Amino acid sequence: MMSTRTVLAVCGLLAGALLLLPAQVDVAPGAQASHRGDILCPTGPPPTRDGVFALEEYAENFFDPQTKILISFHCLEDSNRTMHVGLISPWQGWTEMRFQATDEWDGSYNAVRLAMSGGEVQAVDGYVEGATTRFADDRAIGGTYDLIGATGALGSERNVYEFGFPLFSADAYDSQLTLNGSFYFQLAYATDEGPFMESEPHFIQIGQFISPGEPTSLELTLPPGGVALEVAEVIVTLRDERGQPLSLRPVSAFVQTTFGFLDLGVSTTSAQGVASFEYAPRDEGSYLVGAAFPGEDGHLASVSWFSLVVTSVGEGFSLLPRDLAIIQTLIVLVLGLVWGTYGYSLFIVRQAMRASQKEGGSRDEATPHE
Amino acid sequence: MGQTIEADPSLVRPLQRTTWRFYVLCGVLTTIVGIGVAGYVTQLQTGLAVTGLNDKVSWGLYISNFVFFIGISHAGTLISAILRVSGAAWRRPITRMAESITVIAIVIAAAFPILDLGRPDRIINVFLYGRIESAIMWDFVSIFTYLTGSIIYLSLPMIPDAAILRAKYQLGRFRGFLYKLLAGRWTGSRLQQIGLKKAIGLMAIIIIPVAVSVHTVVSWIFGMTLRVGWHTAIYGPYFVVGAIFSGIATIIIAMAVFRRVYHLEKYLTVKHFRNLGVLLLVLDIAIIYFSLSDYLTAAYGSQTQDVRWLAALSTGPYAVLFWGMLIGGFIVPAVLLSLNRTRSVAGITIAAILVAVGMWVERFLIVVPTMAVPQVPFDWGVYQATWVEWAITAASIAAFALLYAIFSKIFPIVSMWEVAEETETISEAVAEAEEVTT
Amino acid sequence: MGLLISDRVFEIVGWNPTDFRALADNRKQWVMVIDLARCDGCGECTKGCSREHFVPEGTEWITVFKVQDELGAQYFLPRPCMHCENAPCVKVCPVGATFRRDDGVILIDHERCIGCRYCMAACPYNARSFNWAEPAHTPAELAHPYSIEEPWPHRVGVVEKCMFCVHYAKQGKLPACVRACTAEMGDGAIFFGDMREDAVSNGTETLPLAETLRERGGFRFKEELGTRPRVWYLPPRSS
Repeated sequence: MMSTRTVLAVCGLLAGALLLLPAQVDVAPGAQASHRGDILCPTGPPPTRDGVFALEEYAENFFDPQTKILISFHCLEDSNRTMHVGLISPWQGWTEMRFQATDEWDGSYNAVRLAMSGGEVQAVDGYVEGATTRFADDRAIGGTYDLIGATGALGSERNVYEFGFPLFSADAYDSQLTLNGSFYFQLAYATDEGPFMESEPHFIQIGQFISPGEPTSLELTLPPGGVALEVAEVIVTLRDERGQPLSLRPVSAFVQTTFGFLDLGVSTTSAQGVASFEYAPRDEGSYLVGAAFPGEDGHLASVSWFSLVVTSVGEGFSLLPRDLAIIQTLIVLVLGLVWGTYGYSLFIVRQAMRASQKEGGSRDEATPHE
Repeated sequence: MGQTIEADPSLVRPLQRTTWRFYVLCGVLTTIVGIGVAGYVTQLQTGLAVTGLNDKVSWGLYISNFVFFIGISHAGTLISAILRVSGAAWRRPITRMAESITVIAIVIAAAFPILDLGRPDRIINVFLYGRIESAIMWDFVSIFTYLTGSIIYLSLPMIPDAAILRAKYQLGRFRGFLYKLLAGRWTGSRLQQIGLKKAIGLMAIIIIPVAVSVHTVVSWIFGMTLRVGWHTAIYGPYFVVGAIFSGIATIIIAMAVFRRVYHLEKYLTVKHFRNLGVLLLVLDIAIIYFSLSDYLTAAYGSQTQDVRWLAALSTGPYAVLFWGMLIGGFIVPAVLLSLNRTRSVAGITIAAILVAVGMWVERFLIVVPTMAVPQVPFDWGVYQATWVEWAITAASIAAFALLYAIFSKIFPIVSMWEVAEETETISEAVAEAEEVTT
Repeated sequence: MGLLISDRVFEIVGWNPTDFRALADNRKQWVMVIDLARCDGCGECTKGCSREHFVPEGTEWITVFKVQDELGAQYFLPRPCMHCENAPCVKVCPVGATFRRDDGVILIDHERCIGCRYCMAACPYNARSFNWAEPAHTPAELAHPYSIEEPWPHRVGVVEKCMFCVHYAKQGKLPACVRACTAEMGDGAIFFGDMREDAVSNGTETLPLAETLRERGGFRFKEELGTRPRVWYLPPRSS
């Protein structure tokens, strides 16, 4: 729960932030925007929120190397200072964007949590107070939802979310950014199983004019069906808006694993815009492979996801005690023989005892004859 | 014809007359067993923490005793069966003594793994979830098979004796009931005798592989692990030979005791001691040979773990026991049994006692030092048996003696009909010989 | 399996011999990699493990051994349960109280174990310990409901050991020792992951399994025994 004092403090800090720009910013290493320098949120006409991600709708984007989420920005110069965001997230649990308009990241933030459920996007406008780090639905704590038309599309490999929200809001639990300036944001996600990860905080400058970056595209080619324990070649092709290959650009590839991404490395594209990586999963199954181009001056970042399906299994993991079956048969036979002999011995004695009765009876008759 | 067998009354005398000494002996033995039971009760209350066992040396005296008593159990059945199958006539007075050792020793041996359990209350799980892959289950099956076979093999030759005792002696209601139960419709007719002998012959043959399998399987409990000193193919035969060795020693001790106490000099002659002494000597040489093979193989290759194990045995904390076993338990008895001067009843009995003690130490040295050798860098396990373990060990020996003593009061310890038959066949042979001469 | 006569007998009797406890939630193959070059013997892994699993006093599920060779080289060797593919302990258990799950983890059913300690005699790594007396309990431990994956409250007379924190792995959380090590060292020495994915992580860093083992000369403890442990070590000095 957020007290009025905290709201005032946030407002105060906000004012400070505006005065001190650019304040000491702890921009995470690797947080490189597609436009060199700070991550910018350019202004212009709004993108269409159709859940179909068209890179050209956004003039600026950023690929977060930790969470592997691609985030695109677009800011409007309306009274609410509406910001449009597009996310490409590989996470099947929820994906969250958090933002805080202060000059120091203190962990209290406005948060938008998105998830796909039954083909429908579930969007929650929430708030997290630094001290408790607990996510609270705005409505549950007396705030209002002011998300603008959140949409989403479910993909087998990734989810796409688009939504808008006011940077200036009357809601105490939302952002109150009044002027052009900067704010922090952070990305977080949860996997199916539950635990979540968060990125380093990043920094956005708003309102500066930049020429829109040219969208790029990544094509990920994987062998249709890999063989376990054999190296699968992951081929990545980087192209610009017109489909022309982009050469000598750094491209990274990664595999989603249980405890974080396994980086397959960074490779420079060839003259044909092609870079290749190797990955050798050890067992059958589906492995989510991604590739990203972090963007550069004039070119936007792009990301691509693909599932590597490994169907045939090499060596199995379990040992079957085939040989034991033979031994077991022998043991059963031997044991049967032993117990059979026991039984037969007792049977003989029993028969002898019985026979003697008959014999005894017949002997009585036979005695006189003898 | 069967009814013509005349039982020697001197063999029945111990059943009729019981001296005060017997009651004192029983009292002392019962007290020792009682102390052992008290020790076990403490163990049940606090858990195995009352023993000297720990995470490194997790098996100790109990498992040593288990192996030892299983070894003792070989005495009987195997010796009597081998002698029976090979037709050695001198065996007749000692077969029952040997066979009863087997049954009593198995019962006591079988108790030890249960005494060693952390959760004896869950013993039922062995039946509910038994896994054939585990060597303990092999043991379970083979010991059960062996016990059943031994009981049958002990009981069958008791039928004619029970019939004699039922017919001719009044020995109280309990024993009378037992004799009646055992004798059944036994009349001693020729047909019955043929049947019985056939059954005994069959059991004698089948019990030999069963007995060999039992001790082999016991050795496999150790042999199937990957531990130094245990993981060796020699263990099967080594255990079997060791078992027969300690078994014969036990029979000799039992013979010496019964000979003296029940005045059986007529049946248990110097010849019996000498013959068993020769067998004991042969097995002594075999066990020395096996020990040499085992230790030399380990020493020559000098693998790290083997060296540690041998050092612990020969110069380390187990040196006194190790050299004591080799010299006192193997070599001295061999000398005693070889020299004509010491091949008297007393000499052979002393050798047997040395062997029995030596073989107990051998079992201890099989179990404990191997567990004490470090498997991970590099701390040695330390094991000091506590009073509870010693009390239970003493109780097991006392219980063995007690059951044996009681058995000798229920049944003649020398098979009456078999020794009678022996004299009969001898007189027949004499008669035949006379006929030929005339 | 259906290969063993006993299984056939069970089939005829109508009892399904498949051990339901051996079925893991999904197909994972858990492995651990311990970088001995990074281990400074601080023992935080042991503490973290004991804390989170209420391991009784005097018992350790992961033990750090100090190894010194003849030439004076010294390093530390943390030893969890090796979760062998060819596990000697599983083979010898007479009642199937210890078993290997589909995800390669060896667990113990503390409610079935009869305390014969054959598994301890069979384990070449001394990874198992026995509760010789009723262990001292804490209220938090007693409040926890027992399950095979989270086998506490601890109890007397049974064998216990490291269970690769499968209860955490199910939640996508790294094992207690891994987290404790990374928290202490920054770049943790213990890595954990799914062998199928060919990746292990210490929480801050994810390494390719096969490549790391190949390039750093990874080895398994007592490889010659053929137990095929699921724990690999990276040598104490990187070449």
